[in-house]
Amino acid sequence: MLVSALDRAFVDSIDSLKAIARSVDPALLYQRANDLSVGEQILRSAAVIEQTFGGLTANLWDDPFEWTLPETLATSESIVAYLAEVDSIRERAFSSIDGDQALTRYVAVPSGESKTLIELLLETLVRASEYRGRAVAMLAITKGRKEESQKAQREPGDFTV
Amino acid sequence: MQGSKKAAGFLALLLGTVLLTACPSQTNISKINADPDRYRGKEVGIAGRVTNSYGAMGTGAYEIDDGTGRIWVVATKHGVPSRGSQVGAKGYVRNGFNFNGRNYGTVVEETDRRTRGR
Repeated sequence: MLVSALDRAFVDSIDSLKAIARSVDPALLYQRANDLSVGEQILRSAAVIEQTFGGLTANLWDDPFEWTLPETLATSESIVAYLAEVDSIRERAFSSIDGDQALTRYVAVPSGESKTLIELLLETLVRASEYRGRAVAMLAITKGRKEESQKAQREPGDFTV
Repeated sequence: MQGSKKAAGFLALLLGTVLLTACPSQTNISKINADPDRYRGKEVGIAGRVTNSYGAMGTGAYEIDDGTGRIWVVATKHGVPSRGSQVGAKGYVRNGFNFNGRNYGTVVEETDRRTRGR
């Protein structure tokens, strides 16, 4: 069923965000590279998912911005705990979607337009994936920088500008 | 005689039309949520139990559950009923509504209300 496949895709997305959060060095979590950080990209990805499923379950489409600030979720553990909350909202939302037929129903979103449920879920998945992709890229960049600086400290003579 | 009958008939038809167009259609919440575009801008009547409410200074929002679904009602004149009250609300369906810093998908903007209970 299509609903199950979509649900699985969101579960995988959230699990992947948890894995990134757990793998990042605490010192690099909010370290910025090109104005972005791993932690912020994880939170943005999760916030996209939370906003959609919050809208579907409670008809409140508040942007989770306020409670997903780096100051509020300062550590990997707190991010993982937040992701678990997002996952429970996801579970609640999907339990109310009764089969593939329900994916064709229309949902009013805060912009005032109506979208079919499948359109909304796919858009959410794409947006969440974009931020997740950036998080992965930031992780690679910050790790690379750290390794470079460690290498430079070990071999100061070899470092050329 | 024939003329006055015709006039009475016409008057009854006119009155019926006025009354029918003036009264909001009583509907259930699941119908609104299932097809928000159809109800956009229409005046509806809904009735059910208040499951959530917040507000101050005569304005706020409350959520009604009529057994078929839930919807938020935005109240700007009469304050908000307390949680658990049974209410009948009349108002216009709005899609994409921002009120008191909160974003709603589909809401009913209240024009009138009857409350029973707390």
